[in-house]
Amino acid sequence: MKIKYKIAGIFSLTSFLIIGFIGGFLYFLFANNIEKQFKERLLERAIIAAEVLLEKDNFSPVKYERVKARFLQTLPEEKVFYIETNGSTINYSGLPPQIIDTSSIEGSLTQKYEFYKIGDLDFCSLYYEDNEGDFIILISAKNTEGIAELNFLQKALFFIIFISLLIIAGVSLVFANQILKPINRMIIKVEEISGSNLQLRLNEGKGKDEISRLAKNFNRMLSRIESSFFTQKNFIQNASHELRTPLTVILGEAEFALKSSDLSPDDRLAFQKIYQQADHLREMLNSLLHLSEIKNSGASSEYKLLRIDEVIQKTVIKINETLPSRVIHLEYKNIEDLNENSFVITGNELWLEIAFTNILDNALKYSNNKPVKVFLEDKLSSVCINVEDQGIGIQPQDLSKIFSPFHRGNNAKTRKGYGIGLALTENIIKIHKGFIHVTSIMKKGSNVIIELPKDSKT
Amino acid sequence: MKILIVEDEPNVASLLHRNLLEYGHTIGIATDGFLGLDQILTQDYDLVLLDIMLPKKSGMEILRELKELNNRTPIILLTALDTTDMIVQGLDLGADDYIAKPFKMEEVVARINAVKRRTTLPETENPLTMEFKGIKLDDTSKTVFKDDREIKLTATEYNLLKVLLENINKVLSREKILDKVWGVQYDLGTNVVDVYINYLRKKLGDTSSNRIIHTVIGMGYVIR
Repeated sequence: MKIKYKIAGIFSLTSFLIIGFIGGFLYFLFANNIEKQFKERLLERAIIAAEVLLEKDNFSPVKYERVKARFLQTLPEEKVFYIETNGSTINYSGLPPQIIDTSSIEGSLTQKYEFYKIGDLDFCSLYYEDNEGDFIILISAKNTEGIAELNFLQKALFFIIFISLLIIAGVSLVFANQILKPINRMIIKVEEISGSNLQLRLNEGKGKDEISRLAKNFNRMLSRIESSFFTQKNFIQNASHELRTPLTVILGEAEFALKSSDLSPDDRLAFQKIYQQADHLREMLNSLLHLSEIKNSGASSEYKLLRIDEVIQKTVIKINETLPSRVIHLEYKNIEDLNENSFVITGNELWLEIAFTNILDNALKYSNNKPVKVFLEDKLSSVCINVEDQGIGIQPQDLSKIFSPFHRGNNAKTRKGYGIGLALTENIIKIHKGFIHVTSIMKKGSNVIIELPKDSKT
Repeated sequence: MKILIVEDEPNVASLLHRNLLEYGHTIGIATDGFLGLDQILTQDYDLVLLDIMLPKKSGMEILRELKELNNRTPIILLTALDTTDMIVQGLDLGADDYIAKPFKMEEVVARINAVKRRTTLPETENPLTMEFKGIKLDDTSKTVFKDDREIKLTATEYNLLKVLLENINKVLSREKILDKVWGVQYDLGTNVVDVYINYLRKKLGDTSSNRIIHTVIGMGYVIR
């Protein structure tokens, strides 16, 4: 769950509980008050009933009329019962049994009056001592007004609570959004930052709140990463620069020495080893430098429209010029359907040349001097390049790892190999939004399939 | 061949010097950019091996000045691999090829031979413009017109058309075309020639009813 909803939920729930509690409390107070008022009226009515019915003969005509007028203001569903008592004995005869609450009625003998309630009806039993004997006046009525008022109050409270809950939920959502907005902005910005644009910084804001502090600290961390990143990058560049010249000299001198005819077989072997290892080092250094350059500059390097088939021709010819014994066959598929735009893609020519050189070098290295075949195919939205060798093949468990730097398959142990070349190739294909895939059958050969989209900018 | 090595690192310069002497070349050495440019301009070298990082004047500056002076001496860059952008820039400035340091001598020799072949291939006996059945090729501006409408060709397509036009009515085998256009003297096991003939036909509007570039089955191609 998003933090936004959590905050809004907790806030709404708390507010709901508080409002609910206040509402309930109000309702309780109100209900109590209404009941109290009604009881007072009920008692009053009981007294009047007693006066009217038991002392009618004692009244003057005027007073009687007044009492009667008061008596006429009856309560809803009012009923009056007279119960004769004698000392502590109460005569319940003639009363409907469902309205009798004996303990309350008996209580009124000592307490003067008592209230009780059965269903909707409120009762008041009033003990009345008179010159003609003692009576209990039992009066019952229904508090319709009170019930209606309470009902209304209940509805009003529910309505208010519901509405305020909606408002609180809405407001707290907006509020949570507002609080989290700077964090969301930070997330979007942080997502933009990658190895190639470490110079980006978060907006620190002017405040001293937690979020600006977070942004400040994050920026400080970025600065440290950026500086160590550049130190490393510079180190690689400087180190490689320093390595380059001595390596050129070692390689060249060994090569030169090997040309001499008066070398003893042992010396020749020694020079050969120096030469081979230096050459191996050269390949590794080149690939490493390219890899570091491509990781640093990414896809930002210059892209141009180019004919990928001509880039491959150039690569093939270059390889052949250096070592004419290596045979690469270049074949176009479905040549009748091809046109001048069939192999036009957007890309960096030099990078692609490096990638193809790596793949072809690799294929030739493991192909036991059998020709390597390159097939070119126009797939309308992409170009497919298929490099087939008839070499030793790659073991299935190694296939997934051949693109990771410094990995060399079990099969390649006996051969001179360097794991960085294919990692570099994969990176180059990736920055061109293409994909590279290798299939292989042991002892039959491997198949490298490269697909490059024609418009790699999108 | 008379080759100039512009390289400030004495060990590398000496290495190149001794190796290239073995191949029978005449060698000159310049140890900084200033001397290098001076030697290129004053002496008539066939080829220059040019380092990019040089004291006094960088390889890039030398290239730029040579371009301004319209000096066409073939140049192979000896580059550090710092940035590929640098190489692209160098090639744009008119360098013919590049070799990444550290290099193998065999690679240097191969590059030198390839550049030599490429730069000395044409321009000898052929006229600067050729015309045949509405197709006009101007070798100075490297442009091609068909019925006075300019046709955009890539360098390879252009060279192919040029070779065909130089041999009107003569059937050229695929191998011969491969050698003349691509500079490839061995079996490339390829149908690249057919593909490019196809491109050319499409661009020139060369349809079967109005053929100019003809296929001679089992032999090759001819323009007639």
